[in-house]
Amino acid sequence: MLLLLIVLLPLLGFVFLGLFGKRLREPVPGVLASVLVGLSFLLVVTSLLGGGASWEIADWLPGIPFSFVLDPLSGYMGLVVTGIGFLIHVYAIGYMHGDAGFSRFFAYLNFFIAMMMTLVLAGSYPVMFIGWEGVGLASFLLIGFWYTERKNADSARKAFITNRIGDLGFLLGMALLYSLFGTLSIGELREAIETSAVLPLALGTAGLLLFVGAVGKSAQVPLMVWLPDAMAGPTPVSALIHAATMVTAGVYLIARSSFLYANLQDVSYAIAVIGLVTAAYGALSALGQWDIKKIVAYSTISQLGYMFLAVGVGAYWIAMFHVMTHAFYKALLFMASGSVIHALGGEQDVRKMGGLKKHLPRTHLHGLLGALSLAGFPLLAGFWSKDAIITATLSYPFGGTGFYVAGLAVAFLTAVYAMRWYALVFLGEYKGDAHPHEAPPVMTLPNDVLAVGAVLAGFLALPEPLWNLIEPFLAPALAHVEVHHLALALEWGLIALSALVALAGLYLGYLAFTRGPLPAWYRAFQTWSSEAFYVDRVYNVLIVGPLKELALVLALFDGFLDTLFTAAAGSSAWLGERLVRLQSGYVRAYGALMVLGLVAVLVWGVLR
Amino acid sequence: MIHVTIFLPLVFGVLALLRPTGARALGLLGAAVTLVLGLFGYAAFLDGASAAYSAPLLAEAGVYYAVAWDGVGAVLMLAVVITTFLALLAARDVPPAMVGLTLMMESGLIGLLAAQDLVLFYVFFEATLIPSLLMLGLFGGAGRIRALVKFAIFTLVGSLLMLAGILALRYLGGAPSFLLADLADHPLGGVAGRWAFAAFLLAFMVKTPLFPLHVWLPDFHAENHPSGLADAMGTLYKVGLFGLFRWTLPLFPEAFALFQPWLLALAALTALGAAWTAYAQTDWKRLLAYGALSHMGVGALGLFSGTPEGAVGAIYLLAASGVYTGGLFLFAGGLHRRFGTLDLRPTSGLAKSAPGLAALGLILVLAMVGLPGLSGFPGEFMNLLGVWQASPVWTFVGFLAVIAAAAYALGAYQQIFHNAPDKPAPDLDAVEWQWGALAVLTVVFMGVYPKLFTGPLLTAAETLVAAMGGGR
Amino acid sequence: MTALLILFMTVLATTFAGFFAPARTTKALTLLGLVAAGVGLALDWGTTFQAFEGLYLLDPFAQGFTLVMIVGGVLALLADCDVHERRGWPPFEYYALVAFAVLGGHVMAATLHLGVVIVGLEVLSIPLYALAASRRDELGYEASLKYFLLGAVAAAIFLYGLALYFGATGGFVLGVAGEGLIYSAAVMMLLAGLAFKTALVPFHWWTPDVYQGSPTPVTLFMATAVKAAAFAAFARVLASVGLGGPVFYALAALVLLTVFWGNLAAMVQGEAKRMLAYSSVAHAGYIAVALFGPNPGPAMGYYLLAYALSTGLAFAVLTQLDEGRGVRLGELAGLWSRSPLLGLGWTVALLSLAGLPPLVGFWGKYLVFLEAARGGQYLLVALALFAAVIAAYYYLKLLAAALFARAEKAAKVTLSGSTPVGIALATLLVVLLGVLPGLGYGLFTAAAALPK
Repeated sequence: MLLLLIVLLPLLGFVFLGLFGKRLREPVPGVLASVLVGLSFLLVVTSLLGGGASWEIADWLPGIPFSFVLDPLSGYMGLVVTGIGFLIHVYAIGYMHGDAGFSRFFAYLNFFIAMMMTLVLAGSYPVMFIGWEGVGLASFLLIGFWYTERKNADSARKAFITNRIGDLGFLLGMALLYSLFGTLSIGELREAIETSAVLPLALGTAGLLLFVGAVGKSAQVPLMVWLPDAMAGPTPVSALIHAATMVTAGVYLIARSSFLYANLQDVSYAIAVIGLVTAAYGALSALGQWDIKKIVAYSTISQLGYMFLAVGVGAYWIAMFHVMTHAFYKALLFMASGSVIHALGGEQDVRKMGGLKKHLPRTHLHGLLGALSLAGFPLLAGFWSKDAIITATLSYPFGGTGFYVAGLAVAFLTAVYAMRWYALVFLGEYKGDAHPHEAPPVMTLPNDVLAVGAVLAGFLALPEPLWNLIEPFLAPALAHVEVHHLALALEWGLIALSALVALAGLYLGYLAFTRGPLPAWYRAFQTWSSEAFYVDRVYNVLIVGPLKELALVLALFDGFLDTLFTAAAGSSAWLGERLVRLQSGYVRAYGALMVLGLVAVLVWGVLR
Repeated sequence: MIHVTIFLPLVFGVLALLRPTGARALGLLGAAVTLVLGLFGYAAFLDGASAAYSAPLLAEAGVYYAVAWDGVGAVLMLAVVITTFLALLAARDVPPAMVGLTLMMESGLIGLLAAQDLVLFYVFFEATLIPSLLMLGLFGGAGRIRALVKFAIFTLVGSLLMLAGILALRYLGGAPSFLLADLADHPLGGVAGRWAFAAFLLAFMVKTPLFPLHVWLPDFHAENHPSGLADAMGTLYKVGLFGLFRWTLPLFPEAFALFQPWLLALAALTALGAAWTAYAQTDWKRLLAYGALSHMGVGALGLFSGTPEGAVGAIYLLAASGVYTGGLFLFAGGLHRRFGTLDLRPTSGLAKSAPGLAALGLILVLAMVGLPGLSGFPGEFMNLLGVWQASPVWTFVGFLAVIAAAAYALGAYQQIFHNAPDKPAPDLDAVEWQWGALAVLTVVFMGVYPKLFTGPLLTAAETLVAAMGGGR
Repeated sequence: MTALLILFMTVLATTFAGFFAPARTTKALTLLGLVAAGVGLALDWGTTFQAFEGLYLLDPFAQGFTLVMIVGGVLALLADCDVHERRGWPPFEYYALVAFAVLGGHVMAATLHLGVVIVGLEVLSIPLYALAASRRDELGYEASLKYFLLGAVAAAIFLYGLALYFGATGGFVLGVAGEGLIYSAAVMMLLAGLAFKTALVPFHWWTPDVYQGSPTPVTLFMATAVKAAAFAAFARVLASVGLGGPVFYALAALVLLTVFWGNLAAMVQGEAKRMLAYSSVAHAGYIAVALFGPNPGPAMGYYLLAYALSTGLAFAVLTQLDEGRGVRLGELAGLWSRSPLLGLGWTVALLSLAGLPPLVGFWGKYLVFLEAARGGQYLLVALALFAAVIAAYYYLKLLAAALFARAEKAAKVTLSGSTPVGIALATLLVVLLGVLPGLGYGLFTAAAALPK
């Protein structure tokens, strides 16, 4: 029951605020919502300390229980979601100050937390799918929060529809698993798969289908197009949903299903490749963006790619580790961006920023720590987790040297664009015309906490022979994979190498974006990158447009069908007209026809 | 009690026709009492306390007035009584005669769900057509006659040929009467079985409807009274899946096995094609018509899968769709009252001036999209689990509609409620709050706690699958 | 026997009453006589009675069919009022002639002797010729003359068949098995002659013209009572010769031709009476469908009753609207607001004719098809039912013309005299017998065994 409460508290907050929020005065809805999420956080902590818990309604649907399970994995993820969620709720009290939809915003946020916790706690795939689609809806509502602008509304719909493509994969994956094993309970499936001899092909297909769901939710190539547009929502939304929590649900799904993927080499390989491609694409696109939030958004895509690289090679705990560190520094980056936007009265173009270091000292600190952590500056959280991923490509079963090299290259790019973001916003001279002012404490305090996390969270899991708290903690909930441990010297050598790469990237970025003009090739690249390599346009021309046309064609076809049926029916009227002509009105004709009829009957009946 | 549930609405309907001035009050009273009776009836059914009843109606011809609740009938009956009450509550500015006709339809619908005799079913099935036709003909729009003829002819081509099938089923199958129990003991196979099956199929494909026999549906909805009352009732009247479930598949197992691949294809194409076509619509009711059509395609997929999961899903989807599609038609009626048009974009940014209306609309639209936690999902999901076992390929094709649904439904929703505010309109008034709250509660309850309904459905579905020669 | 006597007395009484009493009295007298005949039937219901050395056979079959004729006659009398009464129509002989026709019909139904059949046939037909012209206008004369001339041809065919029958079997009584060319020819000609009266295609040519040209109450009577009488004889002939070989195919061809022809032709008509005339042709086909079953009597009787009530109701409504020129579809507009009773009657009648439950017409259709199904004729059933879809289309057209079309002029129609009683009664029966089909069908189950 305690588990149910974790979900119910924010859900009640949503219902209450949705119905009566308008009558509450300003900070009340925000405070209420934050308190509820805080309580959820405490409940997760309590349950974790209590050694886990589970709860279920049997036969919720025929053969499918409605179940919640709090094991190390879901507890870990739940802590991230409610913890970071709580901080962002608090931050939003300041950020959303004065907005007409203040209470509505918190209602939606609470709804999001409820759904995200449903997703996390789910003990069976259908329940996870409830949360899965629920967070999609929350995302839709929050991206389109300022719905009076067409762009926002369209972005919201785009996010929802793109996610649905993935959701279809998730659905079909469930259907396949159900047809193979007759259950969708994750625990039962784990047992069944670990002991069964089902065709690897069928299992592989199931894994692939579930992965399609993850691709949609976590904005991997080729379904990444919705995430940059999702930045149309208020910044706390971007921080919470589109960076720290929801988008990592795909990673969580795969980690949850690790018992499935640990047996599927080919599928895992595909996941790793997709992850790497996404990481590269995100990093390259982040380089050319001019919108302060979009840079961070593409960096999110890129970092999610890393996580998929991790699960792809089989390093499930490392992916979850990165989920956490990423949650800290990415939320921090977004909220720092939010503070900047807040300070500049809504300005988001980095070309009109610069020099904010002296106007916003606190935010500058947050931004710097966040960017460094993202860039993988040695000893910060992002460094440890990203390095763990890159190293894992060599030590985990599905990895390979190619992955390593590419991962390292992307790490370099990451450092460059992280520095670009920092330099354009905080260094140099202020180029805008607003009067920057530091955010109120209700916004900076949560960021302080996040900054601490972005710096220190990495120390929870250090490479051998140092301590590692996360791996053994998560191990019971994840599949066991054979790790081929590297020699200590090699391992630390590689760590030093990636530290060097990060530092080099940072330095190069610093040089390039604070000093003189950029080379010509870069400017050409800049154009492509700023348009995210025109993927949106290609999709519009090749897919969206034709599909819309097809809808019109189908509607026309329906009309044609209608005509066809009408014509068929009309033919009976035609026939009727012909028959009626025989009814001439002349008795002689009638008599003749009657006799003719008689003759026919006689000939048929008598002479035959 | 079952008889009262069936005929009480009819009595109130006739009274309402006789007393036009008090029609609304009478109608609401009648529907409310029926709703209560229906809820008690369902509770009694769950307790196993509802008895079957049978009396000869035309004994010499083997026709009985035999009624009883089984899982399928009872669940759908709930959808009928709830939606009818909702509809009468919501549609307050309709001509008085419509109220009477609505109640008469309710009677027919409850009767056809309860009937345990094939001819009795047929009688209720056809009798319901009369008030439906009258509502369309008397209170429809400018193109109503054409719509009416199309509706009637499609329905009758199916049902009259089904009558031939009914007779063939009994006499060739050798059943002593038309009672379901007797017929089920004498399924009809062979060539005759195929033809009779085709006749049944035709009737129920029209009423499901399935491509390409759906062409009556958009016009039927588009031309009906703008209040949405007739549309909600018309939605309930789409009992094709029920007819297939109870009266077709168990009686022609052999023929069904033969037709199954084609039927799956047809259902999948309906699901996808209709959802896609919905995207191109510019009129609320047409959009909803195609949307509902797509859902029926999904339901048919489940049913044709020949699995218990699919059968449960089909009926659950049918029941749920009665409520949310009906609700959406009424909702469209509310828009019509505000703007005098059913066009998809009478205004924009309406969420600003009417947030309550926006919330109601969103919840209903999301139920239609099949969002988990709302009533559209459990049925859709069970369908999915069922049909995958029969044909993964058609599952994929049919469930592409899941994506298309998001596109057309949210697109339509956003056109009105999002974007820059245009003409403002009043928010929900008291009556709209009442029916809206009831609708939302139903939709949420059906989504959150399907267990209450799927249990009985599963029993019925397993019986069905056993009769079809499958099952586990 | 009581019924026969009462009918006979009624005929005599009304014929002479007309000379010294107003038409009203004749009407009352005829009604009384018909109802009394009905009561007389009821008293002996279900028993078999023979007289005149077997020439008169009042078995349950005859009782059932006579009941239908009486219902038709009563409806025709009740619905005769209003618009036309002011112009001196109907004259007293109208009632007398109706009584004569019912008597003739009864005789036709209640015998196995072909000689008696022809007597009954003429007693039925000749009053009808007069009735058709009773409005004394050109349309009526034309109708009457056509009916008479074609009727004469049909009678000739029947008589010729009768002669051949005598030649083949050596007697006039049905039920004697025969064979050979002559016998076959005799059977075919007998059936063809009766098919004229029942209006089976291709012997139906008179129907549209005569129905349309006659005064509407007369049309009502033709469509109900006359059809019943003709079918009674038709069924008896068929029962005696059996459905083997050529007869089967001939009948099947006639039935299918009739249902399709009647319905297809009806759907393109623009005038209500003519449309219903064609529909009556089609219904003749449906009635004949029952003949393919092992025991057609009850189903046919019930169908005829159902049809008599429904179409009688429809014609009764038209009577109130017809000013002697027929009723164009457009003239029906706004019927409901002009007179709710007419609107209700019209709606119920058409839905019943279309065969929608829970109205009596549905059960009629259901029973005849059931009968044919018991005979194993599924293809025939399916085809005939398919034709019923076409029928539904034009019934809807008629319904739509009256109910759904927005009326421009809506002059109230005031019903007078016995009309509202007749219409209300018929409406009530159509609904009641539809809801409780056992009630009506129970009357006919006694007529189970049609004697060979």
